[in-house]
Amino acid sequence: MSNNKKYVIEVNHLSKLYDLGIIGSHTLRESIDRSWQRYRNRAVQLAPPSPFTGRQGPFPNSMWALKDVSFNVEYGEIIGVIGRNGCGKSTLLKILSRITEPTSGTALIRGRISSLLEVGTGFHGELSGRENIYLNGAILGMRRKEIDKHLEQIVEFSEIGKYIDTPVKRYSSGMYVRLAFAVAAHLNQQVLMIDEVLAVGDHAFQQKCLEKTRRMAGTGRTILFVSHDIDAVASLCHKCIYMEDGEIVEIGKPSEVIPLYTQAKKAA
Amino acid sequence: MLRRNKKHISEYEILISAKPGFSLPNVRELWEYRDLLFLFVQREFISKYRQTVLGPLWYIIQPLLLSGIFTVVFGNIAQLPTDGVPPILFYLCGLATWGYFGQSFEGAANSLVLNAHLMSKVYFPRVIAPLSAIASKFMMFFIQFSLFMVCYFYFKFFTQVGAHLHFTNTIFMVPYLFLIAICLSLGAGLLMAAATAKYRDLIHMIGFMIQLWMYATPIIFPATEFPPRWRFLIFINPMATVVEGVRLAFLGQGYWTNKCLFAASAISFVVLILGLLAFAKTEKNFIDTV
Ligand SMILES: Nc1ncnc2c1ncn2[C@@H]1O[C@H](COP(=O)(O)OP(=O)(O)O)[C@@H](O)[C@H]1O
Ligand SMILES: [Mg+2]
Repeated sequence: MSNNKKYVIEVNHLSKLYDLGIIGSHTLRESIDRSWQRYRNRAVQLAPPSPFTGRQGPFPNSMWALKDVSFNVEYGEIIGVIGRNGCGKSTLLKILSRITEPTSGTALIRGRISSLLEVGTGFHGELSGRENIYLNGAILGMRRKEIDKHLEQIVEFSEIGKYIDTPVKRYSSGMYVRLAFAVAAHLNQQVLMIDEVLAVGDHAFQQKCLEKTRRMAGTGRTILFVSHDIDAVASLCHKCIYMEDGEIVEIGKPSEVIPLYTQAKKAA
Repeated sequence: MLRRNKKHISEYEILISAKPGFSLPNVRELWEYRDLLFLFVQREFISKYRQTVLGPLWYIIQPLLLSGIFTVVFGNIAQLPTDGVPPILFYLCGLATWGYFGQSFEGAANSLVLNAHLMSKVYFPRVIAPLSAIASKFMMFFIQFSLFMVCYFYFKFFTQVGAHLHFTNTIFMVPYLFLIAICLSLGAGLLMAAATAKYRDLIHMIGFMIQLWMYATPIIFPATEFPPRWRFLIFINPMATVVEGVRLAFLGQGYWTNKCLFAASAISFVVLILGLLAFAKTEKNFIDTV
């Protein structure tokens, strides 16, 4: 690897520690205890995760959702991320999308990012299809002018037709998903993070979306793609990352990495 | 073949890392997201009006009802003075001003928890949510203030007390007073949003806090009711200065000193900065505990 080569995504020793006991609200007392513990354990926390302790974090009730992950992505690549449930795929995407901060490590991303961790993020039932296109587009980072420019194509891609001015609460779930994808398919950011969202919608529409994803990559988009659909990963991705227990097991050609995963899955 | 040409790589860079310490919002980035701010405001309007029968009419009924109740309870029964101003005008003026502040504060305070789902799926500068909550209250304020103005002109031209009602030069200070109210509601709202993200049950306290704060603000009584020695206690609350100032501007009656104005400006500014810092600290990882 030469140093002057510019990658679109550079991930260096990225780790994320989760506290397990604190989802939801907690009391002031617990919080003070915890802060005190934190303070006393500062040195421990700042140290990078140990390679010998597995997922167990430095405090009781803490775990590494992501542990010392490093990789680079080149311009225009589609990277598939595979691995069993809970291995940290979504956590990786959330950190790279700036939804949550890493505990340690860095990532550098060259280009504007859009993340699709869910279909129709921010859709509001009372708003019409058209209004939701604008809202959803803006939430995904598009400017109003850009949406104006693509509006016709979006409506066409969604196959919503005359329902475009109906509140989306009256849409069938199929229409809802199609509209959401139509917006996503016209995002123009250079970097796209997709998390298992293609699993919904009917088969024909799924194919249409995969085809669209492939074409987007052809235009110089760099895509990080999490999926359980091994066939989709095999046919779409240039490279594949196989993760287990928060760590990367293997990175390489899909034809080489996917068998590792399928074998591990069979063995389990 | 892929076009892996270096020159296609964007110049725009995002560095992701754990950022300890405090930070203030990046104004340039906020500007880039202005369309989202606008659309959030629009979302709030549309979802509100399409769902309610009365719609914006409710904004008129509510202060009218409240002023009516105040007039009976505090004016007639408790006989609290209103500086010689017709009670209903006195209350309406305070309520319209306070209403904007209270609603903004509440909107900003709830903004993290209300948008938690969205924030767990996509990045945008988080402070856009409280900012849009505050911006979306302008309309309500405009309606309520117009109501006050209509009542004002009625009293001015059709009643005998009208002769005493007059605008004063303080009217030129009104935009500045609203700036104070906006900064304070944003600052206090952000502090509360940060607190509710951590202690979810605090969300039930917000309504109660607004209620208490309102009674601590000279809305049902003029600040001059307080003995001069203790008056400064009321003016620790910048909203006291704002409400008294607005009343002086439009009704010709109100307590106003440069000292109060200075204190109100300084306190709001400090609260705003503290709010921004606390919010920035919270937003980084609050999604992890949702
Ligand atoms: N907010 C959270 N708090 C605590 N633990 C979490 C949180 N989010 C995810 N985890 C844990 O982190 C691990 C990785 O989760 P995730 O990245 O969602 O896995 P994947 O997407 O690969 O199925 C899981 O064990 C999950 O339980
Ligand atoms: Mg997942």
